[in-house]
Amino acid sequence: MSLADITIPQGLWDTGKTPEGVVANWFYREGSTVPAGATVAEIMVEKTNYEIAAPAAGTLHVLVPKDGVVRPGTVIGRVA
Amino acid sequence: MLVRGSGGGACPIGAGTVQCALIRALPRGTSSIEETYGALAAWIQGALEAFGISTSMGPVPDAFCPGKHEIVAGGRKIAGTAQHWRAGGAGSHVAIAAASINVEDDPKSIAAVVNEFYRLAGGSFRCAPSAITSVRAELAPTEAARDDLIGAWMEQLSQSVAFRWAAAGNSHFEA
Repeated sequence: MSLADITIPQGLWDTGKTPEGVVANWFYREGSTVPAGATVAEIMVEKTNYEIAAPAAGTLHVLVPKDGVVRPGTVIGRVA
Repeated sequence: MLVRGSGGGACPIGAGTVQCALIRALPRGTSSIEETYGALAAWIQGALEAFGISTSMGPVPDAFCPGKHEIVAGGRKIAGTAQHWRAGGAGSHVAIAAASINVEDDPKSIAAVVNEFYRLAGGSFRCAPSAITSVRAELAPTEAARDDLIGAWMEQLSQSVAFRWAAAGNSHFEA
């Protein structure tokens, strides 16, 4: 079984200006089957709503729940 | 009341405001939130500068929908900005960088509708009229001159975007 991380891209924002963002929504529940490329979550940082797609198809595992704090590089979930 | 796809708080729109956006197709890792705000601001600031309105980009905490990337004239908010990055394939995104420019709405009216929204919603945020300005207020002193300039400025805004983007050597752009 392979795991694919759902990661906030490095360099997406300048943490020196805005230290953190938050997970605004998950669009699939823990344990759901998600297709590759599906928009699975969105984060909110500095008035920017940023959608995150599943990097692979499989079962979703949520690591950072809604309203959880994130930074560039944070792994917010995995697809197995 | 409409719920928008970009982030931020309540943003009033009316007959005296203009809503505009830059839409950028971004392959993975080719831009950041700050860089996209900069591109949006450069467009609007250039159009304002052409009519003698000097601006900066930064926060105006007491204005509606506060953030770090507002367009500011004389310490007051003249345009608000926000973004929505829609996921594409292979880690790419379409970034919609949007602005609401106060062309000629009265700051007192703007603040009143924002504050009424938050009062009804049970929120504590309050917008100060003194934190807001308009393109009309920042233009030449006579009313007649302002009427002429408002139309010319709108034309400047609409024509300037393709020129500025191409001049910066960008190829993936759609307005």
